[in-house]
Amino acid sequence: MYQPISRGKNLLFGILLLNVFFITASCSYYYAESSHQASQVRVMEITPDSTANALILPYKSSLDGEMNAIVAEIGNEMRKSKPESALGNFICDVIVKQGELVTGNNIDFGVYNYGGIRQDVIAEGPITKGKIFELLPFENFGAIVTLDGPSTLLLIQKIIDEEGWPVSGELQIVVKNNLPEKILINGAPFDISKSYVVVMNDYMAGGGDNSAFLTGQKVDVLGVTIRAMMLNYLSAETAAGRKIYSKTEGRIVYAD
Amino acid sequence: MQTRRIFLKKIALGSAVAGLGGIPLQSFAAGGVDKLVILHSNDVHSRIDPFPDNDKKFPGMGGMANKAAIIKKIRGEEDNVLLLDAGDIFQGTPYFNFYGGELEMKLMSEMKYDAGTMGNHDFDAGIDGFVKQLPHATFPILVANYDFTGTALENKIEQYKVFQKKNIKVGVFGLGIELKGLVPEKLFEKIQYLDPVEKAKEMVAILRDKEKCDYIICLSHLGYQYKDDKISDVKLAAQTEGIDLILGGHTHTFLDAPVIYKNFADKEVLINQVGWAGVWLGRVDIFFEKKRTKKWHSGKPVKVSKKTRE
Repeated sequence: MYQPISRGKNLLFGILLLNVFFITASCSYYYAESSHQASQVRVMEITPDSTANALILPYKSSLDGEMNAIVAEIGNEMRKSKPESALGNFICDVIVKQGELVTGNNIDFGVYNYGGIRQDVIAEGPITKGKIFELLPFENFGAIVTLDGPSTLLLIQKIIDEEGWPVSGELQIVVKNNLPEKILINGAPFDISKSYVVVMNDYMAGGGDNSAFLTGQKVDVLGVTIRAMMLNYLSAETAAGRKIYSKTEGRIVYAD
Repeated sequence: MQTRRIFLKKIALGSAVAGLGGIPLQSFAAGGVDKLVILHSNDVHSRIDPFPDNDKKFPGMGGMANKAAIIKKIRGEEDNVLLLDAGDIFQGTPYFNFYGGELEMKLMSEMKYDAGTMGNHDFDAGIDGFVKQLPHATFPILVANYDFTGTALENKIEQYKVFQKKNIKVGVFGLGIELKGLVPEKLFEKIQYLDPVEKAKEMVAILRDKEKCDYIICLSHLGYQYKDDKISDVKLAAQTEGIDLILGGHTHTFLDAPVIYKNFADKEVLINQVGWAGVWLGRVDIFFEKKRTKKWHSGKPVKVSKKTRE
């Protein structure tokens, strides 16, 4: 590439010149990676750092009382997965029931963006308020969206494209070749000439998680967060002496 | 290439079994080779406390005070450490709901983080919510591909930073994910998302040519890999050259070991990501050789013949 010296007639002069260049060049270095080694260090089984603990303590003390409170008894372990899961079903069923309670009106079905569920597993047994915060940490409000038929179909297609977003028990979708082959809402076939009342979070209703097709529809944002809807539901069930159960039941089925 | 990958895996496995410290290689220890220890986190999501012992997925794992202890231990063993975070510091536990990320920033400062980047959830309390926590951070937040003009974050975020780590000059820049469709617009306001590949090329040019960095790290919140055409760390690696290490986030990907990809110039790029919630801390040790510069800085114009010019 580079021709560092012009080739003179005198070879000896050339060698002399080369030496001079080496001396000046020797002042300049760089560092190149020669090798690497890596490890993913497991953060566990170590005595916690006392300075960090001291920083945490005042915050932790003021939260623990409220957050360690048991808010319900979970009857069966619930996991999050696609296309349908006990945990996703549970959240959607709760927002339908709570949405109807808050508005006093019928809701056709509920849907929740998969990424908005922030725990993979809810264990059987007592559950704390803190765990509900971890499950539903966002300050998203419940939203009642009245969708026209074509927009409802777009939502169903979105649920399919996402390989199964959680839906409530009122909705059943049979999927074939990534298209809805059968849609039942409250047992009745989907009717594109009808409007449907759908409960979701206001993040989705505002176009979040690439749901821009939902904007421009009639939206009533409730004065209650999704997390508060959940806590209210759990509190009522606990007061009634009931444990919380959920299961998968074929809400989203692949025919192929 | 293949042997190196196997070597890397073995080392990763070995260290995981051995616990904290990497295995010192005799040949390196003897020869006065420069070593840089890169520690990194991503998607910690306000996980201040460790998971409880009865947790289904991460029993007894994580916790900021545990991580701080590990980092202190490593700093006691190594004298050239760089500590970085790839975004989504915020959101996930009541600590964020009630204190807005203040404690997260304080703890990262206490651990002496050198830099971080912004994840989409770092906008969850809006631009103002993030600005409010910046005074608690003693480390810079780096994002090269967001134009913050006209927002409260203007002039508060750097595109890159150069760290002189003993002999090694390290350039670090940040890349954020597209916010539209992911974050409500009222939260990110007027921030303009710029093409991460183009910005990465620009950053590499600055860091290599102007800043004369020996090693370039991209802190990315783009996500490791997608099924569709969306830009990811894997795509970024293939479409650029000059980046040595991509420390990623967003997809919460637990990589058993850093993965080696080939860049646009067929050179190796390392990508690493450590899941989420702070249950793992990534550690990549880089060994450097001192080399004479290829170009001769003689001050004399070098004559290049037509024949040799490529």
